[in-house]
Amino acid sequence: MLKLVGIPAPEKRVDQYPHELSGGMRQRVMIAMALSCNPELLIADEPTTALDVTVQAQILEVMKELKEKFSTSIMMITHDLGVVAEMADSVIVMYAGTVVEYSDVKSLYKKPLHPYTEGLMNSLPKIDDPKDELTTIPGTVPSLYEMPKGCRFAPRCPYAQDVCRQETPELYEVDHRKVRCFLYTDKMGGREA
Amino acid sequence: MTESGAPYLLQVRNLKKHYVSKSGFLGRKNPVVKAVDGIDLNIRKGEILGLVGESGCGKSTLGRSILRLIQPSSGNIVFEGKDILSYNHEQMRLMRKEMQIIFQDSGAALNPRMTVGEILGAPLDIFGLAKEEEKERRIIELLELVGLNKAYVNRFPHEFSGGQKQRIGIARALAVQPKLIVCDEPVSALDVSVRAQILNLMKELKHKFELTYLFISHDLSVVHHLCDRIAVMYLGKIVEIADRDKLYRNPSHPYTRTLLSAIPNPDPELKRERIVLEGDVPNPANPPSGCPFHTRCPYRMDRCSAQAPYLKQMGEGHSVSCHLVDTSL
Ligand SMILES: Nc1ncnc2c1ncn2[C@@H]1O[C@H](COP(=O)(O)OP(=O)(O)O)[C@@H](O)[C@H]1O
Ligand code: SF4
Ligand SMILES: [Mg+2]
Repeated sequence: MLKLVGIPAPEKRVDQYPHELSGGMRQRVMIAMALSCNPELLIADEPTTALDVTVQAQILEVMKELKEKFSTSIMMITHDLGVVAEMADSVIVMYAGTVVEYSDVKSLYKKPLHPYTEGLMNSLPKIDDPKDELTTIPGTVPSLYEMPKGCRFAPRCPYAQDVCRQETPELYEVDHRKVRCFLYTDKMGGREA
Repeated sequence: MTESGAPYLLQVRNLKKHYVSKSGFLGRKNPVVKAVDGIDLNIRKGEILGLVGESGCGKSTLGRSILRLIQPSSGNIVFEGKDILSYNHEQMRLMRKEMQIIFQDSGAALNPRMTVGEILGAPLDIFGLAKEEEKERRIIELLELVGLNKAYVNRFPHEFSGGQKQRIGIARALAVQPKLIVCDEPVSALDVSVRAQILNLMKELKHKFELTYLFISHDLSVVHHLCDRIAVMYLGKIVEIADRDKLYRNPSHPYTRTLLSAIPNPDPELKRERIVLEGDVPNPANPPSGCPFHTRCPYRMDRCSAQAPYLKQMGEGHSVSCHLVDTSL
């Protein structure tokens, strides 16, 4: 198992304690442990967030290989839009405790539907498409105790109308995707994907 | 933009910081960590120099050594033509007005028992920059500069979000009107959208006050966005330094190429050729012989483990430390 996740000299490592291993090695051991009982679903919660890019690249490669080999499904929780683009087939975007968008990965990056997803993508600095000033989402995420009425994103949304501040949007189906936003309903002109 | 004609604000020559650990292990000699091991770099006035590399490569040690928050082991640090490594305590204290630092964890760097007003007032007191009404006015001005409501002046650090704490850290650095700010991973702990707000603020302030930044980060897309020139560090040494576009279009050190290829790309249709390295970063207390990167380098040759390459200019504004570059020239 340790060999599979790319740990060099596994015969020696077996007897080592976790604190003697580097961050990347510890994460490999975690993956080896999780996969050793042959699960159908692996839930990985920010598995590479604490790691450096070159080590992150190694771990992502290992996860991809093992997914193919054991046909394990993976639920990957991350805040890194780069990691999502690289690993995911389909994506759920959450904001302030609710699912705001559900999409296949290609459509999501080609055209994000929810204004929050759009804002997130615009606030990333892009090496291939540099901008002088980054677009930002005004304000901050509301605290769980002071959830705004209506759409939770409304106070920060550039498209918000009265209806957004009064009624709560559901997840509407748009072109095989789902989005929690009135823009895609009759209430606000019925935008298309 | 690169101000290529501007004079040097800071010149660092052969700077070293070797940490000696107190306890020898099993009677062996005390291991020495060569955290910064012979760094040369220049920063021009008005420039943003990026410093990238993975954790433990010595970025923070270099940044803090430049301000002498850590005492370097040897080398020269020349600020506006004066070698500040020879400065005594009092001279150095006065230099702190010229050079400031902002940290990744600005929360921990702010005194929890002081209000924001007191935090921003302290440097004004220390350097005798403003008193009484003038001081109050300056504090309000600083808050407004960094986009904080002046009504927050009597609040304590814990009442602020991560992004707001970083704004306080920036305001505190600006209080003394410094020329150089060392920014040690100032946006690394922030969420994407807050990060964009802080990056915009830092860019705006740089232009407004003609500041010079040494911007430390491990995030190559952030560095690309902000910096004019970029230095790449590995195990205490600079392996490549170049103008921004030269570095990203023509990365020449194998480590720089690896770093660039490892960035997960936020475009699922674009599949970059990825170089995946073997193994981990070596222990800096026991660095490899010859080229420090040779244990992981996909291009290593025989001479790489025997002989250390040094930083050589390979073109205008582009230097690399790798034997490959010697041979191909
Ligand atoms: N006070 C210290 N004593 C001993 N070793 C240290 C000390 N501070 C940092 N180091 C070591 O020096 C190296 C460089 O650390 P640092 O400058 O913090 O790197 P970076 O900022 O690039 O992550 C690391 O190996 C680290 O463990
Ligand atoms: S000197 Fe040799 S080992 Fe070092 S980076 Fe160049 S090719 Fe690789
Ligand atoms: Mg650091």
